[in-house]
Amino acid sequence: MVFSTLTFLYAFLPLVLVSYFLFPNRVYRNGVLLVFSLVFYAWGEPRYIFLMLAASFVAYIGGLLIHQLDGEKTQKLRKVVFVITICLLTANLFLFKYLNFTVDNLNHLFSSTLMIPKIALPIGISFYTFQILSYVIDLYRHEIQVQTNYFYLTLYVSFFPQLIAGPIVRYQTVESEIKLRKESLEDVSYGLRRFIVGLSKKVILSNKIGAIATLIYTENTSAYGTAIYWLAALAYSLQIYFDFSGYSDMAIGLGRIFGFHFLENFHYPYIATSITDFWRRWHISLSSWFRDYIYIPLGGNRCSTARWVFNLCVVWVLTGFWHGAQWNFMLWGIYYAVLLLVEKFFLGKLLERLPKIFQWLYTFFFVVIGWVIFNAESLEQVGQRVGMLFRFVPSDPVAVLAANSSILLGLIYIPIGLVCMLPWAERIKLKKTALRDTLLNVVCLVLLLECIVYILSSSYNPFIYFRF
Amino acid sequence: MQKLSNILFIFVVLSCLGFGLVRTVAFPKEMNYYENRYAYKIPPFSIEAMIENTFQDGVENALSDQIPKASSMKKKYNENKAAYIKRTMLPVFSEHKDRYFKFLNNLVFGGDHLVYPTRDLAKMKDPLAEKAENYNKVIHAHPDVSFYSFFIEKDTDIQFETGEKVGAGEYFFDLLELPVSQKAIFSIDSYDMFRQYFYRTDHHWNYKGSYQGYQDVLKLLECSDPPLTPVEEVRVCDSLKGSKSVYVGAPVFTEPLYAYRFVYPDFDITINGSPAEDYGTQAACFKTPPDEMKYSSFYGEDIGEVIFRSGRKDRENILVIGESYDNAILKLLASHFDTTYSIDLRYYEHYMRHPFHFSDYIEQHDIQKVLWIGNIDFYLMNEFALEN
Repeated sequence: MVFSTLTFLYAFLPLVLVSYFLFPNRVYRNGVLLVFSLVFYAWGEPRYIFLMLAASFVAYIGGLLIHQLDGEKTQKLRKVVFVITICLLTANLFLFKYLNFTVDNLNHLFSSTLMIPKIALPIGISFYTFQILSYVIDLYRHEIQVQTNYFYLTLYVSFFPQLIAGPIVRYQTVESEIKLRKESLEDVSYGLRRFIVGLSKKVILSNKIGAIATLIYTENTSAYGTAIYWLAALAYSLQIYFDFSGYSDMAIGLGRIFGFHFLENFHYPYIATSITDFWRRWHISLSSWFRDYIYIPLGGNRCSTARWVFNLCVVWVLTGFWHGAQWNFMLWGIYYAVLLLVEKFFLGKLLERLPKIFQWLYTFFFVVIGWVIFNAESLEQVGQRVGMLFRFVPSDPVAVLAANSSILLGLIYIPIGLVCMLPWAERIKLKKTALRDTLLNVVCLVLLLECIVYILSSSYNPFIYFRF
Repeated sequence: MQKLSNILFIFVVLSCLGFGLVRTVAFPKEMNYYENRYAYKIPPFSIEAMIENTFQDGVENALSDQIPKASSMKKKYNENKAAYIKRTMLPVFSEHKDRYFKFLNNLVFGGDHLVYPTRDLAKMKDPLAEKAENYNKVIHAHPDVSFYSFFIEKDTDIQFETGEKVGAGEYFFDLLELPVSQKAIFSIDSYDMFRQYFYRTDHHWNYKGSYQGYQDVLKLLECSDPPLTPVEEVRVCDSLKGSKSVYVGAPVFTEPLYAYRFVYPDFDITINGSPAEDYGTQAACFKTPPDEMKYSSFYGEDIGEVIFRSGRKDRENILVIGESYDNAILKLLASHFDTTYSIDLRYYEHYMRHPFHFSDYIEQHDIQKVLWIGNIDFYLMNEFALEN
């Protein structure tokens, strides 16, 4: 199930809220959340719910053993259990996400005919696997307490707000809140408002602007010249931002309703003034995961330059591949590795001396090109689409409109998107008064109504991050 | 005050959403009038349906039809969207009348004409061959009956920008084992011709097209008496509720409904086994012009079986097997025969409560002539196969 469906809004959300707050007891409330989370997952992926439960179980048993073996004489065994648990969880991710890709490439490379059945990618497997891994690793590092209740661990893994599209919530973020949290009226209304803002980003901005990119990339007529390809690139950049940050807002808002405080996942990434800055603002939970669990254990930047370059490349290739088993994702990862290296070695100092606007232009330009690579489905498509950005080909506006006049509808939303990607709302400091809250509530009610109208009227409603 | 505002906000959100759920589950409506179909309801639950995701799709569809004001919201949104795009595009449409423009779910050609895209013959060859084989079996099994086939070309049979024709009718007729004189195509060779004979907002032929079609069918059927001539041309109403316009979701393209008025002979009419006053509402509309009108409401709906008895015993009986295109000419045709039987195979079994058996039917009703009439969909669709 995704949040921007009528089923979620009209059935799941009211039912989970009413059921949750009917129970005064924390244990029952957690029970309600677990049951609803499993229904939420099963609604979209009934076949794979047992896979998620099994992955939680492996982490649960692994965690108990790691905890039990935490003595001076059993450190080696503890390490073995830790490695086995990590391998099992990673193998699960590899099997369902990367095996088909690996076999296809081996066949291509060695002209072999190794055959395996096509394996469908379970929804959210990358997100929940990374959450489980963080639990096991943090436990091994003594950074968290062991969870002795399987159902609570499963609730952490399957908690519906962050289950299928993140943010990647670390166990330590919610460790205490699973058992000890306090819901409040203020949290519920804040959470609901945050959810509606996220829903609006997704339904009103992302879907409408994204339709432009989809139209241009799917029609792909010879009438589309350089300007149109730049329009598609900009549209997709806005689409993916509002889609993913909208989803994170919805997750954070829903979590808050139930008393959980998830960390922020986006911080106005499109105002970044360098690529380094961009990755501090974009998908923060993923970049910090890779930083803490891959980059720093590899040595981070406290090592030789060659080793540091190697560490950075490993992290970015993995970041690329995390997004999908396709070569364009790896290329996208390498693209950022190269940009970051160039910034560190050559460009960083120069950039600092430039006016902010040029720093921003540089960053936005390369980020937009990055999304073109990301959005393609093959390396050939990457070449064609990126090539069109830099080779001047005149566009035929009439032919563009002839291909689909609905493009006009999306164009209305691009300026709105450009305004909404800026942190103006954050800079308007309003005193926390009843009038402010009432105003916000009214605005959110209007936005919710608009979202419902859009969902009802539009069949175009995919979540870009749904399969990651 | 702040607390009250928040309580009110949560209450409004939850009650709106909750009311939608209660309405969908407990008090579902039967019809979705905006989309002109039965409204979806919550489907029965089963594990298989859940695994196949059909249950989930059913719930989503049910909510989209049942939540309060769903249709009004959809309608308003679609109208605004279509009106905006049309308003912005109108100068482009008018300046480039020789080009197709994708407009929401449709195409626009000729400045203001909603048209369907041209079909690909390669994809239609197999179903057309199957249908021809089906009809050939029927033809050979009944050597005592004269069979005729009339293929109505429309926008899907010609690419207006290039003038290139699809040739589906010719392909089908090459396979249909009938003498050349018993097969005819209502040919559309240019956009000007299409504009003359078809509505701008509906997929059917207009009064001029159907009248031309009637004359062509008479020739095909070797009827010796002259066709009925129209008494006058009448502007029936200002607003035709065209199917293509409805498909857009908003009536941003409109046109008046014109029709020829004829003086028909008196018929005894039977609709789905029951006597009826009239087929369609032509006479009533000429007397009292409606505000808006649909093609099928005016000429007659798609009905399982319609029988016209003219009482002219010197004439033959004919069986017309067709779809909505023939609705406009049934009464005209019926004036040339003793009894005219019209069958729409999509609805026959539903209304008559038994399946249609061709052999039994022609024997039972002493049919001498059989006419297959329809556009490409009629010749493609399995529903129009016989003895199947």
